Formats: sequence, structure tokens, C-alpha cells
Amino acid sequence: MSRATATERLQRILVILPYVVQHPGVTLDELSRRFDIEHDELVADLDFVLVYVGLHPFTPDMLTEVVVEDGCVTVHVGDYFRRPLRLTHTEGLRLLTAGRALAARPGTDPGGTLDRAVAKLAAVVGDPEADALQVRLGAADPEVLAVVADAVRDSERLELDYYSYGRDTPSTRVVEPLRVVARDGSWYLLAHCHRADGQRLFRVDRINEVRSTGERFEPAAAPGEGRVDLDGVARSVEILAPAGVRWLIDTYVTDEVTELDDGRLRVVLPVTATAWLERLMLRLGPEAHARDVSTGDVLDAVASDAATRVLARYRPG
Amino acid sequence: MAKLDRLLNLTAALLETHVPLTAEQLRERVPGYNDVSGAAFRRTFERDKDDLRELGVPVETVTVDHVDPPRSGYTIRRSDYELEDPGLEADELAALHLAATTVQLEGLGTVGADEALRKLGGLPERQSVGGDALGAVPAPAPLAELFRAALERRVVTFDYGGTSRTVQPHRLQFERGHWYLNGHDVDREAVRSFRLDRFDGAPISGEPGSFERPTDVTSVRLRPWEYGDGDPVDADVLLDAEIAGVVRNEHPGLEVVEERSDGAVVVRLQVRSVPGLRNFVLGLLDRGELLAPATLRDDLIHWLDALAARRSA
Repeated sequence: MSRATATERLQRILVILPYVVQHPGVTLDELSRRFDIEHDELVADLDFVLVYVGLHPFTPDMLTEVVVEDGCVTVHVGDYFRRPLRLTHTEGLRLLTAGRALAARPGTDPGGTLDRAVAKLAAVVGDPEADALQVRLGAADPEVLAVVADAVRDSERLELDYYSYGRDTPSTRVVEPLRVVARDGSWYLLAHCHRADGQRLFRVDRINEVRSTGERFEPAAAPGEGRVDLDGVARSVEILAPAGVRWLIDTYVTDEVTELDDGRLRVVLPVTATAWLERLMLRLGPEAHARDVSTGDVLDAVASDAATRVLARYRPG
Repeated sequence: MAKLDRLLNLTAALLETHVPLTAEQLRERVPGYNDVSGAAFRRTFERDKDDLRELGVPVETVTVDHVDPPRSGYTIRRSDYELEDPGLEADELAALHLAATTVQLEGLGTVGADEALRKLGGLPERQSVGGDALGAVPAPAPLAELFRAALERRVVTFDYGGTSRTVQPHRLQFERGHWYLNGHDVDREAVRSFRLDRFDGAPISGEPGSFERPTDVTSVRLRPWEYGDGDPVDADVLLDAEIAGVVRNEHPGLEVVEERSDGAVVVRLQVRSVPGLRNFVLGLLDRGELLAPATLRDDLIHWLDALAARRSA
């Protein structure tokens, strides 16, 4: 029968008893469904309580009385177990994080059902002003997010004006939207891209414009993980950076970090696109150097070429 | 299930008692304790208390001094034990269920949102949510303790960036993929933000109720040009049409001071960090331009000149 441990059964009983106390005559079926417990486990728990639980000296009048009649349950208890155990901090944190994250999704109706639920939950968790925890999965234009989410649901092809940050290029693409996910602080659309002929991840906040096509597609049975973004495969680049640029390590994904004797940092990181490396080298300044790890090529010209290009804006003609 | 029997009856006895009960009194009142030797009872009793506390049952230890010599007594305060009724409507409870299945907090062990939902009344209607989790939020090691400290207004001490910090925690905030603690840094007498993944070791919490929360908690400053103290300087940055929307999506609430006919916009930034501004503007490559103030623009040109000059060197 039950393989639950004693503490798991204890937790279960400590939520079921108060529920029955407050809803006398509730059916076994509803309890089983509501608390996701097998019927026979539920009956075993209630029998157990009837036989064993009570107060000293355990005379019949001091024992908990559980009555199951025609599939309906009533409990006569003393004063104990009339309310469920309060939430632990971790339980509260977990549920509040999920609720806050979803309520703060761009486009979610403020003051809607979830907002009200989260406010009530925050109050019993011990955050009556409801401002000790804020969760934002990512920034995005709510209209764009809504359109791509609807297109996933309806399997509708979309046309996107997309800005590839890594390559610093705008492009227009027809995609078949498969899934919307939040990850690492941004919203992404996983979609089959016609131009790339494969699944790609698009950052929703980099979609400049989205247009419905009215065309449907057959969704793939199992969309892939879509770890590949538009910029393709990464190469390893070694950077020698001047001392005092901790932000480099804190901001970027790195494969290796070594602090040299003179205080400079040697960092190896994956680079997928040139514009991405240009930005990094411009920010690091003239003291920094870059080298392709596999070919050994010195990449310092990336920074000076980019600087020359940007300067043309500041000194036209 | 002798253990389940003991834990339930121990909880009932401690909830019902009006005066703290000593271990010996509990041994008489809870079946399963009185049929073992004294040493075995002690071990079992200690383990049971630990198990209950682990589940969040607030078993309190107090000194009973009306006996001689004074002994430890145990009780559970009903006000600490019971979940206050949040008054959730069925649709609100269902909304929380949906949230819990679509957003996962990763790395807190096996403690699930399920148990919290059961305590709140379970799932009113079985519903098929379908699809996968919508988003995952990491839970760095100090998160749970800092959350408790913020709710209970406990001052926390922790090592951060090589120094020890003493902070009144006001708010935990997940932004741009990272958790931040926002609070009053007691030694620096100022509001500061701390990234949780940069904590060195676990925070240590003080006594509850040891500070007043401000009525309006300031949010973490996440724009790189806003870090730092002192008075801000206004800077105007031109964003070309191709990137204006993208930049404004990434930094919601930017102040737009000019919209040009070609779709380009000029945004005004309140700058406290010149390196932060430089990093932001350089990230635009040649699709943006720092227009003003002239001093910062000249600094930027100087920086770019040094980079461009390296080619010939």
C-alpha cells in the first residue's frame, strides 16, 4: 500500500483534517482529487487517525472521531488540527515567486485574479505591504509578447522584423512559433525559421515588429531545446584585460578566468558574432587584447576598425 | 506506523497544553514514548522534535522554573502554528496553481510549491495546464534566508566583494536574470543593492523586528549609467530607428526628448556613472551617438581615438 514516509503522511493528515473540519460531509472523491491522494491512501490515513490520534488519557471521549458515511467524511476533534500548518518561508517563497513572476509578465491585467491571489498570499506569508519580493522574468513589449504567444497557441506563421544584437543586423524573417519561454532574464520565442531552415531562439524584446500572416502550420511533435541562437556556433576567444574590470567576469559567460601577476585578467569566452566582440573590445579600451584560441590569430584590429567606424559618426566628413 | 502515531499525538499534546510540558510529562502523555528505556526515549524524542521543526511545526523550548531544579519545557503556540485564512476564492487558488506549474524556482531542493498549495486548500478543479514550464528562476544559496530576514526584519551580516556588510534587508528582486537584495547598509548609512550570486558564504541573521521598514522601498538600479552616488548629470543619446525600439524595450521607461521623422529618437539619461554611460553608448556601435553634454562626448571621442590609433601602432 502506501510507500509514503511517516513525515509525508503526517503532512498529508495535517492538511486533510483541517479541511474536513471546515467542510463537514466532504466526499472522499473530492478529498482525493483536491489533495491529489489515492483513494485507498486517503482511507488508510483517516482510519489511522480514528484509531490512534487523540489526547491523554486516550479514553474514547479524548480520541479523534472520524466518520465516513456514504462516501462523506466528518471529523469530530478537540480543538487541535482545526487549521492547516502555516507555510514555511521556503514554501511561501516558492509560491510567491511563481505568482509574482506571472503577474508581472508584460501585458498581464493589473488587479486581475492572479494579482488578487498574490496579494492575499503575501499577506499570510508575512509581507502585508506586498513589496518584499519582486520578480520580473524579462522586459518585452506586451503587444509583441501577446502576438507571439497567440501564434504559438494557434500554430500561425509570423513575419518578424528582428534585430540580431550579436551581428548588429536587422532582418525580416518568416517563422513558425513553437514556444515562448523566459530564461536568464529575457523572454524568448523558439521558432522554426525559414531563412535559417532550423529552430532558432529569438529574444522577444529584439523583435521590432511582428505581422500576422494568417497561415497555419503543422506543429512539430516535440520542439527541440532551441539552444542555438541566430548567431550560430561559438569560437573561443582569449582576452587580456587591464586590471579593475571585474564587470567583465560578472557580465559575460566565461570559460576560464585567470588573474595574472601584474593584476591583469586573462579571460577565455565564447564568441558567436563579430559585432558582439566589437562591443566588448570597445568597452575594455585600448589596453585590452584579443586572440582566437584555436587559430592563434590576433584580433586587436576588431576594436580599432570598430572604433574608426563609430568615430565617423562623431566626426562626419 | 509507530512514528506517525507519535508525531501526531505529540503535536496534538503540544498544541492543546496551556502550560509547557516537560519531556517526562510528554513521555506519559504520548503513546510510544513510555514503552522504551530512558535513553531510547530521549533519542526518539529529540529526533521527533527535529522532524517536526523541519516540517515547519514551531515546537518551542522554554524554561519551566516552577519545578526545582528548572527544566526545559515544550509547547506549540497556536498563533505560530496556524495558517491564517487568506480568503482565496476558487479562481484565485486556481491562478496560483497555474503560476506554480508555469514558473519554477530551481535549486531549493525538494520543498515543493505543492505542499503550500495543499495547505491553502488544494486544487479545486483538476485542470490540464499543458505545455512546459514557461520560465525558470534560479534560487541562489542565500535566497531563502534573506527572504526570511526581510519578512521578519532581521539585520543580516555577510561577506561581499571582500568586505563584511551589515544590512537591513528591504526587498528581494529578480531582474535581468539575477537576484538582488536591496537594503540599508548600516555602515555606509545608505541604500545599497547586492547581487545574491556574489555573496561569499551564507548570511547570518540577527534578531527579528530589529529595524523599521521604510514606507517606500527603492528598487534596484539596473541601468549601468545609474550606479553610484552624487548628483546625476543629464546626457542625451541619439538612437537610430533600427535599434530605438529594441533599446527602449530593454530599458523600459527611458525618457524620450525628441522623436525624429526617420524613426530615430533622442533619450535623456540621468548619469551617475561615466564608465556605465560609456559602456551603454559603445554597445550601440555606430547606430547611436552621445550628443550631450560636450564634456562627456569629448571623453568618448578621446577613448575611441585611442582605440583607433592602436591599429597603426
